[in-house]
Amino acid sequence: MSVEPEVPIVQVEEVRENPVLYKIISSDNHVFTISEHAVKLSKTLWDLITNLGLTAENALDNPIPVENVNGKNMETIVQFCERHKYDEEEPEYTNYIREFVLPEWDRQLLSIDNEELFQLILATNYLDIQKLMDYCCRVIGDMAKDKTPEELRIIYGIPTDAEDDALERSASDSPGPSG
Amino acid sequence: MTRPPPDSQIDLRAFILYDDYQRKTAGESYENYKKLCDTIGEKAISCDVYRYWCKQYHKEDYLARSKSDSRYIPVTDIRWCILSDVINEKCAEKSIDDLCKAFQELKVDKENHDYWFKRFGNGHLSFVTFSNLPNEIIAEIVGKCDNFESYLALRNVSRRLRAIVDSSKPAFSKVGDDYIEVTLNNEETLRSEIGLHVEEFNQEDTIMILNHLELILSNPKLQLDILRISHWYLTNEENGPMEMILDVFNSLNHQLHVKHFSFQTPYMPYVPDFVECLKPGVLEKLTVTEQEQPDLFSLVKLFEMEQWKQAKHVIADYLFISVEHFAHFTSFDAFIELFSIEEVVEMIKTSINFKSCILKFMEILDVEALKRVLNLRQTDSPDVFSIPNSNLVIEILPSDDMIEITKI
Repeated sequence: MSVEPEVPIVQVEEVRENPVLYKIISSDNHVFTISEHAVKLSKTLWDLITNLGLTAENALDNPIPVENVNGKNMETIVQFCERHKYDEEEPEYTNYIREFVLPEWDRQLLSIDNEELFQLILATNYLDIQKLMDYCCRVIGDMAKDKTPEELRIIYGIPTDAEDDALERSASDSPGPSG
Repeated sequence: MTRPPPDSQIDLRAFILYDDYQRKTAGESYENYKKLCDTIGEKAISCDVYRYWCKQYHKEDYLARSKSDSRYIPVTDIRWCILSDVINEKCAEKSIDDLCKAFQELKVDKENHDYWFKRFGNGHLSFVTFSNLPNEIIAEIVGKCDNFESYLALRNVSRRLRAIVDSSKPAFSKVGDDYIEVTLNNEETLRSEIGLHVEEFNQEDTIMILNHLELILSNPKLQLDILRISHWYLTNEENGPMEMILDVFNSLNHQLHVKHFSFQTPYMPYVPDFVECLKPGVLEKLTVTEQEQPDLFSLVKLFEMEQWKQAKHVIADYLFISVEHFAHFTSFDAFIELFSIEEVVEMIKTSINFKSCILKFMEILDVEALKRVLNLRQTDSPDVFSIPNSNLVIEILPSDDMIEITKI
C-alpha cells in the first residue's frame, strides 16, 4: 500500500505588487512560497520571521521549518492566507445585529472530511491564524445543526461518558514499568 | 500513571491484546508495533518497556476474564489494529473476522471497519477526532454555534462537552437575528424563540422551556443584545408561568448582560422585578408595552433604579408616564396627553442628553391647536415646524396621532 500522502509542492502565484516572498517547509518536507502580506495573517509565522530577522533580501535563502504542520494542511493554509491577505479588518461589533455568512470560496476550501478539518484546525491554532480559526470553528459548529446528541457523538467521534470513565480507570489502574 | 506511553496516539492495550489473539510473541508484537510507529511517524518505546506492558495487559485481561470481573474495561478503539492489518496487507474480510474474534465484547461494526480500512489503505493515516481537540478549541467551536438546538444537543453528548459548553461564551446575540423570546399566551403555553429557530411548545413543555431558559441565562458569559419577554393576557388571578420565569431570573447568581430589554405585560409590577435582574449601565434600551390596565404606581420603583437612570433609550407604549422621568434619556417614545405638550417641550429644551423623541396621542392630533400652543413656525417642509427660541423641530408624522421632536 502507499502510505506517503501525495501532496504536491505548491508554488503560490505571487502578486506582482509585492515582491517579498518567504519559503516554508512543512513537517513532511514540502516547500511552500508565501507572500509577506499573506504570512502576516499567521501570528506564529510572522513572529518567527521577525525574530529570525528575515528580510526581502535573505528570505528565500532561509526557508522556515514548521514541524507541526504537514504539507496538506500547509497547502490549504497558504491558499487561505493568499486569498485573504488584503482583507480589511472586521468592523467592531456594534448594536446592529448581523448574520455571519461564510464566503463561498472559503466554504469550498473547507469542504473536506471531518478528520482533515480537525487536523486543519489544530494546524491553524498552532499557526495562530484568527480568521481561518473562526471559519473552521463555524464549519464544525454548523455540523451540529439538526443533529441529535447521538448523531453528534458519531460525527465528532466523541466517547460516551462510560468510555471516558473506562479510559480514566485504565489510566489510573496501570502501575507502569519500574525504572 | 497515564496510559503508556503518555504522549502516544496508539491505544497500546488494544494493539497488544490483538497481537496476543493472533498468537504473536512479545518480540513479534514489538516488531509489529515498530512498523506501526514507523508508518505514522511516532517514536517507538523501548522493547523492554513494551514487554512490560505486554505482561501487564495479558495479566489484567486473563484475571478479569477468568473472574468475570465487572470492572473489566472493554477495548473501545480498534483503529490502530485495523491500521496494523492494512500495513501487514491483510484483506478486509480477514481483518474484520480476526477483530470480531479478538474483541467479542466490542461487536465490531462492519461499516465502521470498512471506512477505516479503506481510509488507511488510501494512505490517510492519522485520525484526529473532535475529542482530540484541546478544550480551548472546542470552546471556540461552541462559541460559534449560534443555533440553540445545536447548543442543547452538544451539552447532551457527554459530560466533558457539557462542561466545556457551560463554561463557554454562547454565540447567541453575536450573529444573526438573535434574541430570546418567551411568550405566554392566553392558553398559558410558552413559545420559545431563540436565534432564527422557532418552535411551538405545548403546556407540557413549559418546564422544559424554563429549564432551557435557566440553562442559557445561568451562563455568566452570556451577552444578549435583546431579551424579549411577551406576556399576552392575564387569564385568571394566577400568574403561574410568569412567576416561574421570574423565579428563574431571581435564581441567577449574577445580573444579566442585556442591551435591550423588551417587556410586554398586562401586569406592571413585573417590570421593576425583571429590570432589577439586568446589569445597570449595560442596559441601554428599555421597551415596556402595557397590555391592559395601566398600574403606574408600580413603576415608581422602576424610576428609582440605576438600570432606568443609566439607560439611554426608552419606549413606553400605552403608558402615560410623567415627563420628568424621561429627562435623562437620549431618545424616548411615549404616550402623552396633549395638554402636557408644553411641559414636555420645556423639559427637553433643558435636557443635556436629548436628541429625539416620538410623542403619541390617544386621538387624532389637532395640528392647529398644537401650532397655537407651541407657537410653531412653518419650515420648507409642510409637516415640519420649528419651535421658536430653541434648536428643536417638530414633525407631524403621517398617522396624525404622533409627532417627532428632534434636536438640530
